[in-house]
Amino acid sequence: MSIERSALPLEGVDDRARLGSDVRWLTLASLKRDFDIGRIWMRKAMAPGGVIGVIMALVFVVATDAFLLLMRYIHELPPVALTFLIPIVVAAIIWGTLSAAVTAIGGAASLTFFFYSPFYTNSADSRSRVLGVVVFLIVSLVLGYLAARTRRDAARALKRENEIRDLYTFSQRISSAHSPSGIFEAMQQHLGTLVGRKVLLFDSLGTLEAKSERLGDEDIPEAVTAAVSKMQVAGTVGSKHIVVDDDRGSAWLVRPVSTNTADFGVIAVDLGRRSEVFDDLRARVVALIGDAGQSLERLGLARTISEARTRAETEQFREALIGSVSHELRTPLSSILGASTVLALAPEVTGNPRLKKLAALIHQESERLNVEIQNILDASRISSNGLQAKLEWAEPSDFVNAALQRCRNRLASRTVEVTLPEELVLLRIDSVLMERALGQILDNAAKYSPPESAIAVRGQSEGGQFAISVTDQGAGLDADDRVLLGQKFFRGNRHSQVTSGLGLGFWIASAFVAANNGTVEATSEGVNKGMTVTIRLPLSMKESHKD
Amino acid sequence: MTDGEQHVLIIDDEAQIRQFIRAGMELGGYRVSEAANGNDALREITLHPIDLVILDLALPDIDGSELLERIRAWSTVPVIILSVRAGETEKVKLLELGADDYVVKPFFMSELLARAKVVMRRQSERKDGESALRLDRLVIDFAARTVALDGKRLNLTPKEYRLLQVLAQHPGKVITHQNLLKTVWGQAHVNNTQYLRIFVRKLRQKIEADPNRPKVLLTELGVGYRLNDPTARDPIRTE
Repeated sequence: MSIERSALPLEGVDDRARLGSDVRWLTLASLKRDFDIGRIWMRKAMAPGGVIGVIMALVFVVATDAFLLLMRYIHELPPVALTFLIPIVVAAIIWGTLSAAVTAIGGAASLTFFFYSPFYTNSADSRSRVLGVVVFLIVSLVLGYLAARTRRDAARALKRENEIRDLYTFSQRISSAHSPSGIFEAMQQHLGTLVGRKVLLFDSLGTLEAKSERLGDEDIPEAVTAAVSKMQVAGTVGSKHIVVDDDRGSAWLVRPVSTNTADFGVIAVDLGRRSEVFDDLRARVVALIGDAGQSLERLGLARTISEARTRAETEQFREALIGSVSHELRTPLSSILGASTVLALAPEVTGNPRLKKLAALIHQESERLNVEIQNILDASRISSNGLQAKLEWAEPSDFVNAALQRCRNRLASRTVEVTLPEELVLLRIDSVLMERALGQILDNAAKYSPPESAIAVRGQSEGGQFAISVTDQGAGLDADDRVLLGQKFFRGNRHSQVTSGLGLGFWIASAFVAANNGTVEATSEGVNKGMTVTIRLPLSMKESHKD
Repeated sequence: MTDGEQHVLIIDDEAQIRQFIRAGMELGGYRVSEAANGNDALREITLHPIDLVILDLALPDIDGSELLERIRAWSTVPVIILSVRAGETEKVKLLELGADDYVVKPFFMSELLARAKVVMRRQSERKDGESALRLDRLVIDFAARTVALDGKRLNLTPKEYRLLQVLAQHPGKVITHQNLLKTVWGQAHVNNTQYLRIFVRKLRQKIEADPNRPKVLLTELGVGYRLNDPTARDPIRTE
């Protein structure tokens, strides 16, 4: 097999004949979809100048002779020269010039041999008869040529029309495609129709991405794979197409989809056997891939720009939202919460149990609103990867105490038993994030357990980790909860009617702990058997006691 | 001392916020002035004897931290910062600029009142120049350089005493990690937070009943430490 650069020399083939034969080839190609040796032979034989044309010309001559002899026997000889023009025209239209010429020569021979006296001899006895045969020969050759040309022109016009229609459909599909795969599909389909053969598409890494149906289960020719990988190594940018022959005798065109970027991969098109139509076909396939490549580049560029713009807009919107949430919601909330706490201090209110209750209600509810706003802000920070842990050496007892302090209102009615190690433990953490994470877990424990029940907080070193567990005697987890816990906005079905909240708590806690290189795990013996949430943080004893 | 004569200036551009703080402060027995922007505030501070400034960081004309710097250039008046931005870095910066305390919005009035009381008491004690600090069972005698718990003298290493002393010089005030490290260990160790953790732990083991649940030497997460008087009627809530 040979790999050669794209110049295939034209070897003295008449341009018109080349185009005409191309039509014949393509028409038959579209009729006969199968692809075997017999069909190839048929195609070649049926082609102008092929064996069939010559044989059929001879058959025509014999048939016409038989007809004329029969007519003379039954009735009277019709005008012989004129009758012969009919098979000549038919041969010219079906098989082309060569077939017509053979018929004409056969006709002239028959004329001389059978119908001009003396019969069955080939000696022309008078000048006028010789002249008659010569004139017949000239007329029939010219007629044959003209008929063949007319048919060629008609076929060419038809072919051009089809081509233009195909190209129009193709350009429409390309321009309406909004994804690279759409363009690839259009390109593949168009090439498949045009060439009637196989199309392979390799991605930028050289692996096969798509192939036309026609290929079926056939293996990809080694020559093609080799050419593709060669192109990958050389870098597709700027490289032109190459033509390789596979072991079946077909020539493949291998070309990067775009000559400007390697991103769109490499396309391989089976151009069939190297015939006289080869160069024209190759030129058109190359032009078509070029068009598609440009469309892809435009689309790629446009998409990159629009993606960047969308990202920037999203980020801007997020910033604006967070800004306005923290300002526009929190400022009035600050006034409400602050004012409610002032009311709770006023002697007029403290002296009146009913008013005192109302003031406490405003206070509680505005505090709850504040917590939910904070959760939404935290969630948006996490979602946008805006979470930055500032890891420092810190004592776990510090953030445990801070979290208990923060939740002291919710935990007011509970007995909270806290067990922490006697010795100094230092963890590399962001205490503020850890306090918020533990706060969420304590908050959940309080929310989903009976008001008077006990909550246990235990901290201890376990192997290379420090584990902080919160155990409640509450609702526990059922099978569904176990699966869904930890998802954003998850709240157990059993609780959604009874307790308030958005279901962000556990998710936020998990994200905060993860930012501290830790894990959160929830275990439960079952429904209403309480649950234990365990935070595990990496412990590095060696460094923590460095003095 | 009587709180009745003490004058509080509220600097906040939100009228609603000023309104409820004024109500709360007046309930607490303070005299109240208001300023809606930085320039009015500066004029107010120069014209009247102010005992406490409550300063919101978001002001229309002057940035809150800049205003704090300007006030600190010539006045030691206690300043409590109000902020919606709760970042620890920002708190540290404000404390370094000379803020006495900060409260993150939204907050409880009781909390602001407690903090106001602490910073104003600290201010008047500073004027009195006391030589000892009593925090419940703990007594720190600056003159004798001794610390006693329940009347028993404690054995503190020089570093432990120095750490406690720096905190005790401003009881109730948050002293930042950097500040403590710089004062006790020196500029070179300003980032060695683990020194601080270890010595705080040792101190807590000596002065606290339960070092895991400290009542006196309190942690301000991500910012620093403060000394708290557990007998104070309104314990300071860490936000």
